[in-house]
Amino acid sequence: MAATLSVRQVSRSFGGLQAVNSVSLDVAAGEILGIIGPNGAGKSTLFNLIAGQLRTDSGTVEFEGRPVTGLATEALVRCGLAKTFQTSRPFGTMTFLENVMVAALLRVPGIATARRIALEQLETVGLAHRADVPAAWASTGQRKRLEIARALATQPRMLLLDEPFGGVDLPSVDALIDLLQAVRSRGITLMVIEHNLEAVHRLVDRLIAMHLGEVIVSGSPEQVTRDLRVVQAYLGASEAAHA
Amino acid sequence: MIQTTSSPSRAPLVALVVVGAILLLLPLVIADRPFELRMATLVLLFATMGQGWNVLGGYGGQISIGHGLYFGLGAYTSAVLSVKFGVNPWLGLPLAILVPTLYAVAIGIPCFRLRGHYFVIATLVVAESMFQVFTVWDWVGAAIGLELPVRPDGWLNFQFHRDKTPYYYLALGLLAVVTFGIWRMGQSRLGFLLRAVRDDEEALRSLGFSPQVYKSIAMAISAAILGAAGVFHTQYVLFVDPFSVLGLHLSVLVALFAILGGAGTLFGPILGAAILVPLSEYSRVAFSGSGRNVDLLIYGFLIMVIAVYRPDGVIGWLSRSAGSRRRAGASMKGQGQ
Repeated sequence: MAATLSVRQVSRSFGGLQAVNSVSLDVAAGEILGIIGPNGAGKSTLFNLIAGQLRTDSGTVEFEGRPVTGLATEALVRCGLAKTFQTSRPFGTMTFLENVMVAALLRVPGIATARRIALEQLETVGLAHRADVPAAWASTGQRKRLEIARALATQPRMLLLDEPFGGVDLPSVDALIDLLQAVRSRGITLMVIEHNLEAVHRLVDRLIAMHLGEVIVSGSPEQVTRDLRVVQAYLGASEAAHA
Repeated sequence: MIQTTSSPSRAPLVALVVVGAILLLLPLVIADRPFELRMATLVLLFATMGQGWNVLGGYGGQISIGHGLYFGLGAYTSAVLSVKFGVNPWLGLPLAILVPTLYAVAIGIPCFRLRGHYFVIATLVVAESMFQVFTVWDWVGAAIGLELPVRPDGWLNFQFHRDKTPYYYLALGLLAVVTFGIWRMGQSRLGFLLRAVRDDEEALRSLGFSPQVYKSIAMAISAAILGAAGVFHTQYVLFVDPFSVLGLHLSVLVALFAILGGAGTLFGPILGAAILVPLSEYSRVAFSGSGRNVDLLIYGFLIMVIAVYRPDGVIGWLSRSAGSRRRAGASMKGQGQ
């Protein structure tokens, strides 16, 4: 199967710190790939390298067979590769609907059409009832879903989600998993960084664990979360030995 | 800011018709009172300039205190064409708008790489350095400036010597066209994207847009409006010099009118000019010869008042009560979450 995204030996360091060290991975079309790892493992840096928010020191990124290494964020989004922020950033003086309309305007010229598409996307993420409310009043959970609605309105074929479950309360987790599954069933490939292991377990098809800038394990969620190296990475080697 | 997001209702339309009628009929009352007629014309001119500033500064959130530059370039281009080449002002108008527009776009390329305070400083420096150039550039009259040849009265020559009422109507027409254009822009794709630039450039980038493109478009529109206002000014006073059309005080005033009235709102700059221009003119009369700087003192005081109490300007203050009612309703609607 052709990979939607392929990352080859991508590296990036900040001063003396090797944040991402020769990472290679493939994401298959229609797959949901999860990335876990303790703080500082290089997950967000890897995302930013793929999404064009940081420059790679070396290595290549291909999206749908096209080399996209070094392309700016906005160019990648136009290619169909979108990313949400870890801390969501709504346009504060606009309503929920207007926020999504801005995104829709990337693909359609007219305001009326953009409004229609935006409403559909708000419906998809369950925020249609908030359409005319200023986005500045969104709760954390609503911000996350607004961010997803905005990304969807740019009509991506792949979505990078940076901690979509962060700050989402327990009852909303199920709804968010359903939403992301629905997004995937529309043919959108997903790559998700997440600390909430329980949510990741239920959401993803395949899991990659990172530690100190490198991929240490890749496999099914069960395999990866039980792997001794992953447990050690999270707990530190000495505690893991006692466990 | 609430103003730009609210859906249209009937009340503003009624107000618009009433104000429009008053503005159209005003010369009937003040035609034989030169001081008032001149002041009314200046209000319209400054309101137009404030509108121009508002496209970039209000809607796009890129605060410039160098917009006098585009006014000055329009004024000078018109004067030079007239004095040096004998070009009719109407024929010179397109070029006099084009020069500041192109200059603004060119200046925008490096300046828009700067954010926040640094962008503000850059606009100031660019405008101030051009002021210095014009004070020593002999071909355009250096510090003395250029005086336009007096031609026969009439619309063809854009000169009215006996009755100045046509200037008033020209200024009113310019303001009306500009305001209508900005209203349309506010509801267009460009208007949405400019507000997004103002709110969060990074977020806009993450949705596939290049903020620089939309800032440049806003800059061009903004400079074109200032340039047109500059042409009007040249034909109105038949004289240009660096102090009157390129001085720093102009740049500050234009920004101040829009900010005092309400940056990013359609009628804010008009309201700002309507309040501040008469204030300045009357204080000048009241304090006569030495009064030249009293209006600046008043402006300075107003800036402090706005900064402390009403960062969203007079329009924001007026719509506060209506806005809070709307918000209360909206939050009730959202409680089901």
